[in-house]
Parts: sequence; C-alpha cells; structure tokens
Amino acid sequence: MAKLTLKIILFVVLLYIPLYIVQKIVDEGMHKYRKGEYAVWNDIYSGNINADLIILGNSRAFVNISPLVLDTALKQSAYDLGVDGGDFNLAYTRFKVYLSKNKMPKTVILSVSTSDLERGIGIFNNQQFMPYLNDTIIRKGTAGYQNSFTLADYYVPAMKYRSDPISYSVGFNLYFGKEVPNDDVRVRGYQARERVWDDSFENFKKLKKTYTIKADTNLVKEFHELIKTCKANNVKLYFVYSPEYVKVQPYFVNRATIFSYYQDAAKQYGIPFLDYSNDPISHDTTYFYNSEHLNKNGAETFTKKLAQDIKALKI
Amino acid sequence: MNKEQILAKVTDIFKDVLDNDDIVLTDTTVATDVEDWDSLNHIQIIVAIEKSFKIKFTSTEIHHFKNVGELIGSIESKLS
Amino acid sequence: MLFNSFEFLLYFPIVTALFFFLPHRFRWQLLLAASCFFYMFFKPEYILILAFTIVVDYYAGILIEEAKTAKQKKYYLLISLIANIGVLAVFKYYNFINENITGVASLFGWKNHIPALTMLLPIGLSFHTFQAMSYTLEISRGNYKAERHFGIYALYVMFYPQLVAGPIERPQNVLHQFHEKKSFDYSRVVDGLRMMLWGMFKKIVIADNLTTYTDGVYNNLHVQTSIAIVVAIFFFAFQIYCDFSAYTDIARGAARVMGYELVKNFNYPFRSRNVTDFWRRWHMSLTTWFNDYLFTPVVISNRGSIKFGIVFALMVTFSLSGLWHGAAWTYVGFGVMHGFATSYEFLTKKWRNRLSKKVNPFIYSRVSQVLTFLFVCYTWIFFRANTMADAFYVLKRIPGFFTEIANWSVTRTKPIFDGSLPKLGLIYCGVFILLLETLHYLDNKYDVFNKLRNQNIVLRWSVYYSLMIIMIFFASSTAHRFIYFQF
Repeated sequence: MAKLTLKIILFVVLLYIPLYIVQKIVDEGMHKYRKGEYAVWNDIYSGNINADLIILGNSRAFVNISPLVLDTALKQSAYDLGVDGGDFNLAYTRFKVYLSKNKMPKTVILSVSTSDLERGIGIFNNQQFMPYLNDTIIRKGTAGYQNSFTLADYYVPAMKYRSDPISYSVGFNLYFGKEVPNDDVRVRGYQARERVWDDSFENFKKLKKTYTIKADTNLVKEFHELIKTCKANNVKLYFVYSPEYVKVQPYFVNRATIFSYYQDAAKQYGIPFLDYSNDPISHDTTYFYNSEHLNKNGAETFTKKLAQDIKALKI
Repeated sequence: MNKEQILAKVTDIFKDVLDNDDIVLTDTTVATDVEDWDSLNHIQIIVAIEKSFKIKFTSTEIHHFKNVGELIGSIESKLS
Repeated sequence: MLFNSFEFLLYFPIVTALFFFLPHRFRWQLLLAASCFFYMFFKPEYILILAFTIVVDYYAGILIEEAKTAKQKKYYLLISLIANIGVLAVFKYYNFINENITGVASLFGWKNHIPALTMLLPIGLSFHTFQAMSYTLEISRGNYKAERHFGIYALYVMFYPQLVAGPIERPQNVLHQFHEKKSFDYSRVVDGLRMMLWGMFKKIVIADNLTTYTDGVYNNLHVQTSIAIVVAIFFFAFQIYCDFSAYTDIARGAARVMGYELVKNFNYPFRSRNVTDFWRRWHMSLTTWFNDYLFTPVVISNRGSIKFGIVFALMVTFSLSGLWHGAAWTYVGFGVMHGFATSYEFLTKKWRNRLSKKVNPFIYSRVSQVLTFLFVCYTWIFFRANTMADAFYVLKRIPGFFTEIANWSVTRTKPIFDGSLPKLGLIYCGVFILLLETLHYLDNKYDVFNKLRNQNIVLRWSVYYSLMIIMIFFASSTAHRFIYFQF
C-alpha cells in the first residue's frame, strides 16, 4: 500500500508542478492584459486607482457615463467600474474587490437599470474572472450562476482556463513581453462608442416579446448592503438612471415595480435619484446606438448634464 | 424411453428451435455452451419438449435446470 | 455526491484509505457510513426512503425463507414488492399517474381534485428498489439464503459505488463479498483505479462536452437547422453511452479497488447486430433483471401459445422498462418501439437466418450493425426529447437534413449551428467521438486495455498523463449530472 501511495503522490506531483507553472505564467500574463474588462480588473488589483468618484453598474455605466467628463466638471478623479452584462451582484462584487485594494471613494454614482435586480442566468464573459480566482471575494461573487466556477477550477492548476483556450496564448505572450492586439480599450473603465443607431431595436420589436423582471431577494439585500456601506463611510451616493430610449420602456411590463425599489430606497436613506429615462435625450435616437446604450456624443452630452445636476444638488 | 432416446429427441428439438444442425448435447452441457441458447430460446425449447413428450413442467422447474442432464432427468421422471 | 466532482476526488481516497487501515470487522460499518454520507450529499431526508425499504426487505427476506407454506412465502414476497413498488409509485410515478388521470377526466368533462406533489425525484430510486426486489425474489425462488446481518444487508442496498446508478446487483453476486475479508492487492487496486480513470475521461471529456451541444439543440429545437438536429441525434447516442458506461466504470473501478467485483453492464453495445443483441450489451444488469423477473414468468404463464406469449411478454417488458427510466410518455414510447423491434426480430428469426447465409457475412454483419445503430438512435430521440411533441417535431425535421445537404450552396451561407456551442467545441466533440471509437476498435481487436497492464512504466504513465492532460484542458466547462441519476 505504501508503494502505491508513494507512486500516486509522485504521479500527482509530477502532474501538478508543470501545470502550476503554466497557470502561474498565464495568470501573471493576464494581469498585464489591457483588453476590456481585464484592464479594469488589473487596474483594481494594482491598487492604484484610489479615485474620489466611482461609477458602478453594468454596461450602461461604462458606456453611458464618462468619468473623463465628470472629472473636469466636478474636480474629482473618477473611475468607471461598470461590468458588461453584469447584474447587481456582479457590479457589487467588483466594488467589493475595489474596496479591498483601494481606498474608499468620496462619491459613488450607482447606475441603475431595469434588469439589475434580476439574477443573471449565466455570467457574461466569465473568463474575465479567471486570472483572479484565488480571491475569495471573486469566488463568492461568481457563485450561483449556470457557468459558475467549480472547485476543480479553483484547485486544479491551469484547468480554469480550459473554456477560454485563447487565454493560454495571450497569457504566455504577455508574460514574455510580446505585444497582444487589443481592440477593446477602456479608459478609466469607460468606453466611448462612436456608433450610430443600428437595427437592433427593430429586430427586438419583431420578437414581439415583453419582459417581466423578477427581483432576486439576495440581490435586493446586496443593494441595501451597498447603501449602508456608503452611509457608514460618509460616501455621497447617487442613483442615476441614465437615458434609455423611450420606446423600449413599455416592453418591460413591471418597470414601475422595479423603479419602486430604487425610489423607496432613495426615500428611506435620503439618496438623490436622478432619472433620465424621460429626458429629451431619451427621445432622440441620434444620441444612442441601441435602446440602452448611448454613443460617444450621447454619453458626453449626458454626462455633462449629469455633472450639472449633481452640482446643482449641492450636497 | 431411455435416457439416450430422450437425449436424442431433445437434441432434435434444440436443433429445430435454434435452427442449427451442429448442436451436440451431453448431460453436462449448460446454456453458455450452446450458441443462442438464451432465456427466450430456453422457454421455446421447454414448450417444444412439453408438447412432444406430452408433459408439463412447473415454473420453478423451468427456472432451475442447471444443465441438460437435469432437464433429461426431469423428463424421465415425468414419463415414468 | 457526483463521481465527476472535486469532492469525490477527495472523498474516495479518504474512504479507501480508512477501509484498508481498519480491521475487517469494522469495514462494513465504514462502508455503510460512507454510503449514507454519499447519498445524503444530495438530499439528506431521502435517506428515510432507503431506510424504509431496507427494513421491510430485510425482514421480508427472513420471513420468506422461514415460511412453511408456498402461500406464506408468496404473501411475504408480495409485501416486499408492494413496499418497493409503492415507494417508486409515490416518489416517481405519482405526478405522472395524476396528470394522466386529469387528462382522462377532462375528456369526460370531470375535474381531478387530487393535488400534484412538488418534490425532487430521489436519485437512483429505480436502481436501489430494483436491487432490493431482486433480493426478496431470489430468496423466494430458493436461490439464495436470507441475510441475517442487518448491516451487511443494508450495505447490499446502499454500497455507494453503485447506489445511485447501478449496475443493478444480485444477492448471489455481491452479498457474500461483504462478508469476505478483503486485502490490499496491488495489481487489483491499480486495475480499479485505471477503470475509474477511463470512466472519468469518458464522462468529463466526452459525455459532458457532447451534452453542452445536445442540450443546446434539444432545449431550443425550433431555431435549429435540420443538420444541427441530426448531428444532435447522433451525438446523443455517444453522449448517453459515455455518460452511463462511465458511471458503471467508475462504480466497478471504485468497488474493485476495495476488492469487490460488480457485474458487467456494457459490452460494446454499438456493435450489436440486432435490437435483441443490443439489449444483451446495453445496461445488461437491467436487461437480466427484467428478463428474470418479468419477461420469463410472463412467457411461462402464457406458453400455451408460445408465439403470442413471447410477443406479449416482449411488449409488456419493454413498455415497462421504458417507464422504468422515467415517468413520461416519451420513455414509454421508447420502450414500445423496442418492444416492436424485438418482436419483429423474434418472428422473423428463421427467415433472417436463412438470408444471412446467402449474403456475404462481412457485408451482412456491417449492414446489421448500421441498421441497429440507426434504430437505437431513432428511439433515443424519444428518450431525450423534453416532450412527446418535441420528439415528433424532431422526426418531422429529419428529412430537411437531406434537402439542406442537397442545397449546400444555400445552406452554407447561413450559420448551421446556432451558436449555443462555439465552433471549436463542435470540432472537439467530433474528435472525441473518433477517439472513443478508435480506442474501442483497438481494444476489441488487440485488447489494448488489458495489455497496458504489462507495459513498462514509461508507456503506462504516459498513457495516464495523456488522459489527465486531456481531462484538464478539454473537460467540459460545465459539469453535468449523470443522466441515469434521475432514473
């Protein structure tokens, strides 16, 4: 029995070491990656952001709200933490990681959307978490989805990257100092999209479907948790509903119910709720490229307006 | 009818049911020795034996034949 | 606990190490405790179902053996069968029966007021109740002596490697093994581990990757091209084979490591030359169960007109074996089709025999294999489809496959696969099936799995390392449950 045990241990060790090295190289390489969400994560983990103003939310945060505009208008250094395709849990997870590595901001703008409080079925672009799976905040935050990570992803070296094999080559290249093309640049988390109104809304209409958003109790709990964290640390918090093309709004049949979550919380905690879903911008497709997302011009116009309104509040 | 005669007759029944003229049976032959002698064919063989010897087996007997010898023995005892 | 989970990767070595460290008299307790834990990992309260059937069958076994008259024996056997089938009826078939009552009632304009039950199906229910029934049935037939040791009997039902998805064991084969003192036999242990490794490979790499594709297609049939649907039909065949045979391999391997031999459950089913042959090679332990306890008795009692008796028994057996898999008409449909096929084969046996002698044997056997495989794939449409309507929809779409191929220049301009699976994944799936079939071919022809045992360490370890590396880099990113857990 001893002989077999030794052999098995030897077998496992011989397998583990090279895989561990592979994982280490890929992890470290990916930590230098500047593409899309990776860039944001890497900024967060470097601990050098330490912004005064943080924008939280999903893609409507990082596409619609420009930290660069807020920066000049409010004289506060700003960073946009919007997560593409993320529900509130993922947005909040990113904020928690942020706080674990950076200092507490003075101001937080929470970009809210109709679908935020519904738990996503799967994690969109879940490969963005792979280089940081050692972090327990990430592990907790990514649990409970259809494509969540498993214990094998955590503990078997190199295994976590298997569903995104491109990571291996990107990681190796970056580790050894080679250039990797990047077609998805974020500037302080923000991405200006120079696009014009496309046909996605027309296609959406053709589906003739309506949506009922089911608020998830855990996500609502986290939503309140975020508010309390901000209150406890004297962080100024704003809820912002950035422009949304008006004609898409009736498709979310219980939109009012979802809004009441934000309105009630705003009232309860005395938080300004800036709603632009009926703003002139929301009526004009030239500012958008699809019903939920502003183009570069739209985002800049909107963010200037937002900065004015925030200033006007004088909190 | 003696044992040899029964065995000969049973062998013919096997050949007929299994559609195979090369079958040779002895007392110690078991199901696995004969190609196609599965449970389905087993019952067809039993039915054919019952008809041709004009006897009846009980279902316990049908389940418990271990080899051809036991089958022949049972036929012999029922005939006498 | 899933065999293909990280938890099991830790659980198995711990239990096995304890098993060998403990003296023989404590081992049954260890295995029983380990089995309870394994089962309760899913849904702890369902252990009570097991406890109930174990107690009933344990006493029924003793009472059957001690019964003085045949009538008494029958009576106690009936109690045991009612208890087991009753558990199945309540936990597995209740809603199905109820829904059908509602359906029939509504035909007459009545309302069915019996409420539906909302509960999860206990895993492996059909497996351990069948194994338990085989115990009392064998005792009543006088083939086996009742087990007096309650713990050992409980272990017979609960032995964790085969508790939730078989092979369905017989008392003659395993019960005595639990009394025997098992020692650490190096080559046997390694053999078992090797079997488990191969099982894990089939499950994690082949079955789970195929599942990602077939689930994508079957759960969203209406947007698929016919080509995608036909590919899914064939992929499902390999998926279900790899899934289920993997479970059996891991079960038998884990048992063998500890010194227990479980029955063989698969024998290259895709090489079957007819449907009857298929059932002798596929899930063999279930086939023999139905054969011994249902088919044969039905035939014997109807042997007055033997042809009718056999066809009748085939239809009854296969319908019920379809229903054994799941409480849905799709499974019954699956069973009935196999009933028809085996009946046809029975009735045309002599004619087919004569035909086979006229045709080149190589061609005859290949054609038979292909036809059998196609038939089985066809019936698996019903097995996999979420509803009967879906199954018929799939059938309706099959001819489209040929039109799409014929109009290839048009077809190729649009995406053939709807993107539920990345292109790379699809290529992987194809490669894995090819790999599986190549290995099967080599094993069948050159006995490579057995010969591996006697190769030198470099070759052996490189094979293990290759399997491990493929598992690590190509394992499906979502771990799926074993299909047969739900049965």
